[in-house]
Amino acid sequence: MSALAPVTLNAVTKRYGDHLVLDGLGLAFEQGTVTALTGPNGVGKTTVGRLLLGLESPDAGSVTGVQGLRRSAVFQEDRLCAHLDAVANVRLVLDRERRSGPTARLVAEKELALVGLEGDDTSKPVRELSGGQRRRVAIARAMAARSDLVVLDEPFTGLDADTKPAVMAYVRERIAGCIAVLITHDPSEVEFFAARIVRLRQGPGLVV
Amino acid sequence: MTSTSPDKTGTVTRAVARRIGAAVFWLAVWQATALAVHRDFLLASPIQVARTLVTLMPTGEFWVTIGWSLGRIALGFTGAALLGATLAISAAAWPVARALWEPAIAAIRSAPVVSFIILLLLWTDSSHLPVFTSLLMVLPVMYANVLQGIAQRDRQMLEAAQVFRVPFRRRLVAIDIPAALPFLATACRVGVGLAWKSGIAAEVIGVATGSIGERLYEAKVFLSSADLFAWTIVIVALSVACERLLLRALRSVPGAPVRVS
Repeated sequence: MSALAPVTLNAVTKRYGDHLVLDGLGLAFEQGTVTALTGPNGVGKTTVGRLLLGLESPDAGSVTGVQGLRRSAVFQEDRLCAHLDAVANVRLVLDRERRSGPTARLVAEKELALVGLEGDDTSKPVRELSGGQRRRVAIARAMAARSDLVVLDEPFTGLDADTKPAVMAYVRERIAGCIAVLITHDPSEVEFFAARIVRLRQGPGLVV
Repeated sequence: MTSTSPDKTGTVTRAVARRIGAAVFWLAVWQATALAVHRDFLLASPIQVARTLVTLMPTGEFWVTIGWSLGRIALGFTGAALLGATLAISAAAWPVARALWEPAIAAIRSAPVVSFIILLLLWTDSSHLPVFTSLLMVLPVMYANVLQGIAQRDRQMLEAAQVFRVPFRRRLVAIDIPAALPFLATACRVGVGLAWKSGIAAEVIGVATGSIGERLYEAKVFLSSADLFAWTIVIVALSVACERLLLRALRSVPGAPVRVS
């Protein structure tokens, strides 16, 4: 992977109706660094993630460095195609070279095996899987997509204690070299990813 | 292995018995009314209608007549489905297209079917009449439902598709079509009935040679209510069969909910 310029939020302001979420926020995200966004609910952590993913535009200020970046995400919600099986959900996001033919299935199965999903669990509609299994499919999908910028919004919520460490290790390996943003309330996750911590707070500014 | 509990079997049996009971009740009312009227040309009895059907069904002409009407009405319905979906997709994508289509769709929806039939009779011959009439009647239903289906797509899934750069065709199959299917099923249920009603009305008014409509017209001319009822039963049966076939086909589409009806 070639070196990527930092992605930067430049004095970004964002409001939803009358509710001011971000007020002149400035923040840079470097390649190879996991930035953990923490802070109480409602301070705009998810909004920062959405700005980085191109799902929101700032009301004032700008987001630079995202042009041309391949993006990937584990959303707060699983956001899976409920009628498709786990393999098909992962295949959907594969890039052109890996998308078609028999290798696509192998790539998807390999990725799912790394989050502990194998056999029947990969071939039935994801609506028939448990919440934890669906979460793992969502994680495998995000990791299978080749990306430069990864946003992980409370990615490990719903995973049981037995599978969580292995899945976290898998994610840490996969996102190495990316611009990675981890939105979490869990200090152990921050510690595990050896992340740079950015604590957002209500109102203007932030504490790093 | 699956098993059916005695309670469930009993409930199903009771429901079937209720339906059969209702049918028998209305047939009895019909028979009693026919006996009271005592004029075959005004109201044939169910037994006479059944006899007429039994006489008609073994003849080749009966099936040719059905094929004639079925083919044209199915063509009109298919045309309406394709055109309605195309217009709805373009309307969802481009506000200008929506602004263009909406007045035309509203006019078609509101205009009386006979106005179209008479206008079409001026432009085309009666054999094409059921095609265009059923197309025009079904078009607004298809357009409105497909448009609603597009509007009801899961925004979160569309965002995910955007982030992961899912190509259009894959998104269509994985997200768009499954979201639109319940609305398409509604459109099919309403549209099939409309297509048959308007198509047959067009055949009667245009006296389309070889059609079911012509048989109905002849029944009126020859004051044969038995033929009228027999062909009406055939039309209802065809309409219900078409609707069921379509819904079954929709259920087999990947991503269809267990029940789309």
